[in-house]
Amino acid sequence: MTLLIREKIKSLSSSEEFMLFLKHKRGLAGLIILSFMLFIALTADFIAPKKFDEVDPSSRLLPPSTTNVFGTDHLGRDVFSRIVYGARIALWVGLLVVLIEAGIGVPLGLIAGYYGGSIDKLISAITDMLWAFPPIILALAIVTILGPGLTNVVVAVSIVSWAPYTRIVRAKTQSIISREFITAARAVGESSLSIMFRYVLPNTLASVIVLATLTIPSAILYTTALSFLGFGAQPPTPDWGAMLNEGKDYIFKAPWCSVFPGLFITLTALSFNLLGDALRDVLDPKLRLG
Amino acid sequence: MGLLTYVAKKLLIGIPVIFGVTIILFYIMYMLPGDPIKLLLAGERVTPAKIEELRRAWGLDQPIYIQYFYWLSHVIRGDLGVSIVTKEQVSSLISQRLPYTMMLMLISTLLSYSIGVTTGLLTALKRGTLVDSVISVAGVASYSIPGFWFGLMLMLVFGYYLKLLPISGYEGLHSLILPALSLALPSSAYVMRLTRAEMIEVLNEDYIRTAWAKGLNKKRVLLVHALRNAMIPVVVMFFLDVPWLIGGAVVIETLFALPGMGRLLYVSIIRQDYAVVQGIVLIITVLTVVFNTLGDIVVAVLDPRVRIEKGGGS
Amino acid sequence: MHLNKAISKFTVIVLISVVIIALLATYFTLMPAPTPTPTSPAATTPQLKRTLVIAIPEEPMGLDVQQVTWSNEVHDLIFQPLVVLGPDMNIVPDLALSWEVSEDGTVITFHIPEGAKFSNGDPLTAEAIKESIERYKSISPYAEDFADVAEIIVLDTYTLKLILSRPAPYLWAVLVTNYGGAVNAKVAREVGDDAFNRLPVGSGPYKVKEWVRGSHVTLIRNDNYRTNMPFVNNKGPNPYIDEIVIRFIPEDLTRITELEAGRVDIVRGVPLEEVRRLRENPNIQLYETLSPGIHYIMVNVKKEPLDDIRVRQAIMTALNRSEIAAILDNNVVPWFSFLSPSQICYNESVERLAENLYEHDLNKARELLRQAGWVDTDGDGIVDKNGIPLKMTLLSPTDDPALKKSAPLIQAQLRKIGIHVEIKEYTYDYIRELTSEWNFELALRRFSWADPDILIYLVHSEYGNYTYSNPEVDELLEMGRSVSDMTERTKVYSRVQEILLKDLPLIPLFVLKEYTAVNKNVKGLIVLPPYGTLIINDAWVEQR
Repeated sequence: MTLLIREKIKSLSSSEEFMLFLKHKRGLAGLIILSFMLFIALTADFIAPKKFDEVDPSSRLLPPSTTNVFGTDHLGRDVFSRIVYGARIALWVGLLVVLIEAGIGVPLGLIAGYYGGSIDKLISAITDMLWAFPPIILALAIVTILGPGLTNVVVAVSIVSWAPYTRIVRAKTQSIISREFITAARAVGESSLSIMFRYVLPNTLASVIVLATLTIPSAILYTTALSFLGFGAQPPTPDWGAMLNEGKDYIFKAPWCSVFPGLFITLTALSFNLLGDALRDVLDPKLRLG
Repeated sequence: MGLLTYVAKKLLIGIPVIFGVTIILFYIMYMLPGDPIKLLLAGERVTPAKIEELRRAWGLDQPIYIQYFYWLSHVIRGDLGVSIVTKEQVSSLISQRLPYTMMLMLISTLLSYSIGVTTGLLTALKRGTLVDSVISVAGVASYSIPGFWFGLMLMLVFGYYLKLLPISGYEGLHSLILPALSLALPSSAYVMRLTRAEMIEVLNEDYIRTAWAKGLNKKRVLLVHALRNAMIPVVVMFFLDVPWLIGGAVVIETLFALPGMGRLLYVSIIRQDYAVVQGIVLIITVLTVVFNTLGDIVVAVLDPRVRIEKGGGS
Repeated sequence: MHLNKAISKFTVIVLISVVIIALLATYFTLMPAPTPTPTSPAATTPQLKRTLVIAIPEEPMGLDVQQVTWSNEVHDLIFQPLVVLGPDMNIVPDLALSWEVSEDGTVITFHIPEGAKFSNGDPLTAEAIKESIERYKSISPYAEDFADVAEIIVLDTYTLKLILSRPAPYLWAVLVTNYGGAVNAKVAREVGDDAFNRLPVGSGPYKVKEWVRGSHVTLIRNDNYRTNMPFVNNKGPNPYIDEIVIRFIPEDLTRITELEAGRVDIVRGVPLEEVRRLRENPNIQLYETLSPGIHYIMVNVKKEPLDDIRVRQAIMTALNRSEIAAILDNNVVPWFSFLSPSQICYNESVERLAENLYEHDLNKARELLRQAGWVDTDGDGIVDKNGIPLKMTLLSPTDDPALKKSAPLIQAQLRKIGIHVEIKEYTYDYIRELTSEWNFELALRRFSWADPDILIYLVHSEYGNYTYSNPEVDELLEMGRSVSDMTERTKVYSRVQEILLKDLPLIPLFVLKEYTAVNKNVKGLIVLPPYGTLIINDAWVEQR
């Protein structure tokens, strides 16, 4: 399996597609922004002048200056430090979302597409059912039962949204299994599981990656919206969505408290979207509906 | 298979989906610790005995399947139950607030298409130029901005500083413009992308060039073709996304103080007002299934292959 | 191909028409009429605006004050109690003309003015009030308020006698609020409680015209309104304000923006950060009342490690309340005892005592923890005992801005003495439910009630529904319910507080200053302490 992936990556990097990608200006921009976010997330401990939970009531709501590049918030915490540590959280959210959504959606899609018939109908029905479920309800339920916290909220949001993954993987699987090499493999006596893993899955990876980069920003934004409603990161976690929510109360007095988190959220979501667009144009132009 | 059979099949699948959602929801609400009575009264100057009495009066001490059956038997007769919190008929509560959310959604859909299709056409025609890049990036940016942030900016700029539109509340249709824009702008970007992609493909098709060569009106050809192709999948997607849009609607309705159903849903969830939540989710699910089916019908009409292969989703 | 084109064209047209038809249909059939715009057309006096617009954060659950669990401005305007608390916190007449209390405090006789009427014209007699109180006792969740009223006797048409099983000074706290408002029980019987909850009949200065759910309540002047409040000039209906629209605007920012744009005349629930800015705004008048209650940390005294009094004392001493006040822009008063100056039986010396006992002292706090066996053995900044670090969770309400903002600061302050605090945010109601089930360690809460009797619902072993139990406190609280003499009563509650200061089942934080922001074109408004009740009698609104 890993051998196959490695081969695929090698073939990709030398291929036309990679060249095309580099030429895609917007995709490149997205990649650069994302790398920047990754960079500050990784080096947070070094570049942050203060700890993100260091309160200092005597220096609250200070405008940006040389000591506090992005100013301070209503508790006197350094906004820049919080933004920088917040990058870790934002990327963590993205990763978690993909892990859960793809982790559930892809296998289900594979099974549904491969076996067809009543299994397919069952999986499709369950998928549709969960997609029709307003995530805001599940988010509150999980928060109430398991306790509040960003991770729980993200889990809640991801659990109801694996549907796109299932649908795409299912459609791809259906088209792949009709091809000759699959029939050949079956004739030789390969097990279904092996076929799915060795042949079908790698061919769906491209679509999955594209979908991932396009669903992460909506997950980030939805989580931000839930922060506005009161579910999300608990203090003192420097989650950008929570910062945006806390900061909006001070929009007339100290706009920097909300402008910077808002800016970074937008940039991160933007970078994923641009990246996703580029990847889609390069890898799978037919994937328009997402 | 015939169109009618196809429709029937799709609707039939929809029914268990609706049931499934309500059952899952019931179970979730049942699992929530506490209940609306306790939420309202616990810790106030009320005795625990009184709280128990009220719980029993509302049937909250019954096992879950009995409560569900009770609810179901009433729903079939058209009775959605009563709100524990306000003692009002759920159906009356919903019918008072649903119109606002529906108007909001419909207006934002209209705005979304107008903006999306026009910009899509524009960027397709001016493909590769600076205009294209700028508008495309602006489009991507607009669905990268947090919803309430955007709404807040609109409110401050147009409502407060420029005093062009109402800041909050419902004073007539114009009150829905800013809220609808907050919702419409992000989704218009999707419409724009789709229109642009379809347009570019269409522009390359042979018969179009032949038509132009023959001197037929370029604009008319574009309009008919692009509109046709781009709109349908997006309409389908829009209604498929209804459960997700409710979250956005809650935020926008709270921000702009609109008496819509989204806000009612949120408040009812917080208060564990089961009947109201069930009623609203039921309606949302039914709408989703109906429009989903409508969308599938349209796709099937346009592409007969779909009917034959599977009951394929969009 | 041609058929497809035709069908698809047709489909497109159908779809577009469906959307447009849906829009039009919804608009014309289902949409109710829009809210009246704030600037209504001029009436007889062109300089006056005859509609007053008030913005409040939360929509009431019902308009019948006897069926709700919390009441607000809407109920204040619809219902009229027998008596009210005047500007100097004395009990003065409102509906009632006068009253007498017997020597032993068990008989209260009210005299009602002749010809008093409900807003719908029904006579407001002693009989009507008796029915109203009986209805309260039967359906209100707070029926217990009238538990000590053994009998209600109608002496004659306009004289009512309440016979109490024992003296109940706390009863007055209910009678002066809208909960004590006279309700037309006859109408309630006729239309049913549910309908009455949407269109109640009271005797307040205004009556309900319509309630648009989720949006606003429109009230119109009650021409049958008469009052005996001594501190207002106009004892009848207000001739200058025909209509009052109370809008529900949940988002703080939106409320304030509407006020500053001049589209709303009065705002309740002024967000704390905006106070200073509004104070400096020449177009806005700010009214301040000191909350009749405290904001505090509720402690689960049965749960380790909080069962050790020294730990509780350490927390009490470690908190830097002036810092908390600074975070809240000094719109709160740091507080150490259990009653606020706006409450009855407030005793300043108790607050002084508390301040001295628990003056902010980090070293003292650390020493207390050390004595209790908590030391930092592994140098991680958190104290521990037997290998277990000192950790606790703090429940913080998402919908109470003052408490929500204090939580991270409290977390940081307790960190300084080595306590690791984890914050869990829930809605206030849910926290209240959790605490009533003893499912918590520390919880941020508040109360707001003019009478000190409220304490019985917090710290009494039986009524309190709570883990703390001290028989001496129980006895004192029960005594406090029936002592009529103010000095004696104050002594009782002072003693209660002294014991509470030793046991610390609650850790006081601050007293909140509550603000009402009013546009300067509203004149003659009275904002009554301690709840900030709006008295409209002498008010008028000038056009901008």
